[in-house]
Amino acid sequence: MKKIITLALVSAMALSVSATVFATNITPQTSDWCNTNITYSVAPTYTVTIPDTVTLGTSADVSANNVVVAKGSKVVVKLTGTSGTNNAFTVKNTEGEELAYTVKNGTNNVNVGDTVLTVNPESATTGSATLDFNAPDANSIKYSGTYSGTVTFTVSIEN
Amino acid sequence: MKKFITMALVSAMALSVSITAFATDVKPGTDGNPEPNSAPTTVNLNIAPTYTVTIPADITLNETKEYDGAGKLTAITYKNDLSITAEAVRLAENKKIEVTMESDFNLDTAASSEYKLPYTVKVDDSTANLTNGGTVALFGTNTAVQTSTLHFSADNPVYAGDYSDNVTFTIKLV
Repeated sequence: MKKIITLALVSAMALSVSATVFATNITPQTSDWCNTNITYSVAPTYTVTIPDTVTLGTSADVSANNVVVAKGSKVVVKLTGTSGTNNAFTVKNTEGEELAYTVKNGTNNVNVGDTVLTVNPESATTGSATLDFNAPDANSIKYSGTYSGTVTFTVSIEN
Repeated sequence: MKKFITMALVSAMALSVSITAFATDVKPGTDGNPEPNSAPTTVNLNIAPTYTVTIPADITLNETKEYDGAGKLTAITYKNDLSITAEAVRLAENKKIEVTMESDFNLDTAASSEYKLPYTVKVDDSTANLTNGGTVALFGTNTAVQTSTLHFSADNPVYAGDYSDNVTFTIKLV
């Protein structure tokens, strides 16, 4: 007689867990899978340096260093305004006498609204522009004294 | 008889000052945008005053004889003009160059001599005699040559000899 011992083994196990977990323990008796989200936030960094003063007849450097911004973005510096009437490039003495001057970036005249520096971290993390602040025509200078004005630079992150 | 007036010249100088330049650093704010997002740059220009003032180093008074209608000699005086010029004058607006003259208005043959020969100086068309320290020229900003003329005059001296006097001109901005 054959004895057939049939063994049937049935086991069932149900396990449910409802909780917020920061880790999942996997024991030899169980197998499971989980997702762990890994995040790393990188804040944008950059240092754009704008000179406080410049004397006509000399140059001034606008620079950007350590540029880290979102992919596809870049640091842009523009000359966006002057103290002259209607944004004219003029300096004025205390008596109101005005003298006109020009600004050049290389061989190009800089106008209000022009970009003077762009730094795209995909190609470089630093950059600089040397702007020439040209003195007025000597024949236009009637009076001695101290003349002054301002130009304004605006920094933005653009795509 | 020669008469010389020797001029000495005194002038003032200007002072210039240099400063160290600083800069504004623009960096990300808490939202990542530039902070500040704009910065001014002061543009400066200093134009120093320029001018050339010329004053002759000496002047010789020349004998001048005056006659009446009948041809009779009426007076002998010693006269001459001295011109002070200024050119390429560029000053601060509303500023002028003032030239003044110091003198005792006496000619003599030696400092120790007792006899003094007085002389007078008139400026341009003025009829008044110049006084010690008086203004002999006032020049403003002008590219053209400017001139002030001094009229020197002395009477006929009692004694012969070489008479002279030193005058001092002072130039300043006013």
